[in-house]
This record gives sequence, structure tokens and C-alpha cells, in this order.
Amino acid sequence: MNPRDSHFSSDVLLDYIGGTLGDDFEDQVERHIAQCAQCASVARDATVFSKLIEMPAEYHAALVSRASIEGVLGKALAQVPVGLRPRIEAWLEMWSGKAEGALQITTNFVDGVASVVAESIDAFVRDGSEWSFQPVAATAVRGPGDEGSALLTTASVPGVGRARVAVQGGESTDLTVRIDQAPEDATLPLVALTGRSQDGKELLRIASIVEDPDTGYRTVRFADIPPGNYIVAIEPITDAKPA
Amino acid sequence: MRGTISYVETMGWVDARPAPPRPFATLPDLGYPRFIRIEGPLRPTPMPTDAINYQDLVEHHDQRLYGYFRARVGADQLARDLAQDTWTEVWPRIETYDPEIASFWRFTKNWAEIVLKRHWSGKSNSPIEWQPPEGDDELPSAIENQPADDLPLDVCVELSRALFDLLVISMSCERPPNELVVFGFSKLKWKPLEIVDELSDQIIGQLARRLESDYAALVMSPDLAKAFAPLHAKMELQITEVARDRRTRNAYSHVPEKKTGALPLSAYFPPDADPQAFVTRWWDTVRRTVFRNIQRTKPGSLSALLSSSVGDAVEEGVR
Ligand SMILES: [Zn+2]
Repeated sequence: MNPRDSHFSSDVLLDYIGGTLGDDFEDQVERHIAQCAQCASVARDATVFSKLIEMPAEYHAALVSRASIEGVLGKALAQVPVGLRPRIEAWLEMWSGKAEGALQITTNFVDGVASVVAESIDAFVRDGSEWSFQPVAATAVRGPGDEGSALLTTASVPGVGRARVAVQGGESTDLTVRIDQAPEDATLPLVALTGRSQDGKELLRIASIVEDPDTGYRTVRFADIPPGNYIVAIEPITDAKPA
Repeated sequence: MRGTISYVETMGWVDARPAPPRPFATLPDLGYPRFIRIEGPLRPTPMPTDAINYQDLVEHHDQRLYGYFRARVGADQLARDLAQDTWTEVWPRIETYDPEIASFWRFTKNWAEIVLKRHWSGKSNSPIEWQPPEGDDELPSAIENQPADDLPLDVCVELSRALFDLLVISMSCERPPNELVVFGFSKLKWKPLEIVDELSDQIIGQLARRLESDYAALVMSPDLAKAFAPLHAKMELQITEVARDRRTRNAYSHVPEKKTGALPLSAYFPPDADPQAFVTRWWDTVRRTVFRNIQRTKPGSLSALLSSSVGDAVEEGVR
């Protein structure tokens, strides 16, 4: 088949990936795919689709439960200092592991160019929270060890900026979470940073926001994070009220 | 072109190494010995090397091999590299190719599969183990995947999101509700025989509710109700209203004109048909329809996953 003439149907390409076409037909399809970007793309979709469609609900359930802050906190319990455990247990119990705000942050560094993408994970956020962060992407040229100004800052959406997350650096990054507005008597929240670097290392850090006595800023900073894909989750602030 | 094979007597010296074919002009010298020594008892060996023109064979199959990889990995350059890697494996063994045992493509494809497998297992995310179904009566959803705990968290997030989207697309696709119910129960690991034996007499409106609650007991998601809403809505309509095309209407012409949700599953099996075969067919029809719909509305959306770390996880499972 000449790629200019016509394309194979999605059914044929699905059968091709399923290995149910005869050898002669398979030959035609493979030679066509070699020349046709459109059918190659459908076949690639079929490759992923054939696998996903066969995953049972049970497996979906296991993924959902692991892909939650609850899963992360459960894992953190075994690793954090004893003093932090009651806080994490309370977070798990009272909020089923939901967060006041949660972000997915992907950092990359290739040939001196640093890039960061951040977006809210609303599925992880507790009911009634207003801390949904704006999706932001940024790219900058950075030398080794060059921290410069923040690559990216994202603030919680309703205008005033009650919380913000900033990413600095390049080859490795520093991530700072700052709470701009919280009730006077509220306990400053824990922040969990978890994920996986590009070279496959699991990373899990939990620390509390603290107030700097000089500047009055309430921040927590995670330093030297290698390029990778991370989730930042902020513990619910129970009595948080809009100022 | 088919070559001739003969049995060579022990202790012969055979020029078994033809010049590498042109596609590999850039490959480093792999240091193959120009002659190999054949020892031991009678063994099959290609007789005169010029009887099979290996270079022509390789050139003839090179495009097909690229197509094979192009369909399975996320980037064209990667597909080219893997095709090249395959020839690098095939070439030193090319004299073991016996046209009377298998076609040259079979011979090459064996190596292509190994190269693909090695490519994915070399990745840091190589979690999903693909196991074939145990018997013919099992739907493919019986395939076991590796524990989610072994997967990186970001892969879990992306994969569970993709599975949820797929559930939504499946339950809202234009197939009759009996097919969707069967499809749903197969996701809950019901085998065709079990569906026929245990669910045939049940009213499918109730089966749909049971499906949702069984699903909800497993998958924690506040949006699950949204995913199943289109299925419940269909239960209020008659088969002639939900079977959109003439072919489907003909296939269900035996179904009474009542609300689809008020009928037992058995009402949908054609008279004198093997219900188990139909269960499998319905599952397959839903699968095809869902894939067609994805191609119509979001083409390339799944192959985008193939380039991400999720793709590594998914691809590992693809034979
Ligand atoms: Zn095409």
C-alpha cells in the first residue's frame, strides 16, 4: 500500500499489535508503518491501548491508592524522625491523606538549559481548600551551580497569593514553599516532597514550614533536588480562613 | 530467494562470513573471524554462502524491521536504533539461518523481540510483567501486572489517570448496555463462563448498579459515579434507541422492545448461539469501539504516554 493512497483502519492496526494478522498482511502493515507517520502513530496508540484496556480494576485500584498522598505519607511514616510521626498520623487520619494544596513539579536540565513545569493535582486536595496552584512552565539557560533568580514561581489561585512555591537553580534545584497568609493561631503545615529523579532515585522529604524570626517569612526549603518528577503536598490547615 | 542447505562433514573450514551488508557500512568492525571452524558431528550449516544472498535478505527486510519498531516505541530515531541493534545481533548468527525451518523474517523477528525486551528492561522503570492468559476461556483482563508498589509514584499517578479516562470513555461509548456491562465485569476479572453462568438471568439495570458498586469498592475515586452515569442512562432506552447503526440493530433484532435495563442479560444472546462466545465478542467490540473513538477524538494521546515514563512501564509489558 502506498502511504499516499490510503491508511490502515484502527481495527487493523489494533489487530496488528495484537499479533492476529497473518504474516503476509503483517508484512504489508509493517512496510506501510515504516513510511507512514499517521499509521505509525495509530499503531503506537494501539500498543499502549492494548495494554491499558486489559488492566483489571483491581490493578487500577492499586495504582490509585499508591498514587495518593496517603500512599506517600504511609511510606514516610517508616522513614521520618519519631517526633514527626504523630503529625503525619493525624494528617492521614483526619484528612485521609488529602492535602491543603498539591503540585506536580517536573524539572529538567539538558545542555545548560533548565526547565520546570508545575501544575496543581486537584485530586489530592482536600474538600474546601482553595489552594489550587496556577499551572506554570519556565525555561532558562543556567551554568553549573548557577542559582540565579527563581526559574519559576506559582501562587495559589485566588489572587492574593496565600501560598507560593518557587523553584530555583538549574543542574539541581531548590524548592521553596512559602505561606503568605494563614490564621495567626494555625499550626504551620508540614510539606511533603516526593517523587523520582530522572536517574531513577526515589526521593521523599518531609519538613515543617517555619517562621524566620528576622524576616517573618514562613517557609520550608528543599535543597539539591536532581531533575525529575515530583509531588509537593502541603498538610491541611484546618482552621484556615480567607483573610 | 531460498538458499540450499547441506550437511557438512566434521572438521571442515567454511567461509561463513559474507561481507556486512550496506546498511551497516557505518558499524564498527566487530572483529568477526573470517573463518569459523566446524567441529563435532554432522550439523546443519549453509553450504556455499553465495547460495543465500544475505545482503539482499537484510536489505529486503530492513524497512519492515523499522516498521516493527516504529509501531512499538515512542520515537522514530529510537526505532531506527533498535532496528540497527537487531541487525547487529542477527549478522553474527546469520549463517545459522535455515530457510527450511523458518522464513528470514521469523528469524529476524525473534531477535527484534529480544532487542525490544532488552531495551525496556534496561530502563529504570520496568515494572509490568506480561503473562499470557491461562486458558482460552480467559479474557485478557486476567493478565497480571506487577504490584503497583514497585512502580515509581509519578508512573502510578499518570497510569491511574489514564485508566480512569479509559473507563469513562468505555462506559460512554455507543455500544448497547449489555456489551458495556460484560466489558465492565471482565474488568472485575469475571471470566466469560462465570458471566454466562452467574449473571445471565439477572436484569442488566441491576447488573450495572452492581458493577458500579463493585468498582467503587475497589477503586477509590469521587468521580466514579460520573464514569458510570452514561451506562445507567442507557438503561432507560430501548435497544432500537441505543443501537445506533443498522448492523447493530440487526444483531439485536431478537431483543424485546422494552427498556434495555429491564431485561435479563440472557435476552441479549441470540437464540441458539453460544453465549460464552458472545461474551467474548462483546468485550472485543467494546474494545475496538473505544479505540476507534480515541482515534477520532484524541489521536496520538496514548502514544504520548509511550514517550513518557508511563510508556516505559506500559511498553515493558508488550511482547
Ligand atoms: Zn498510513
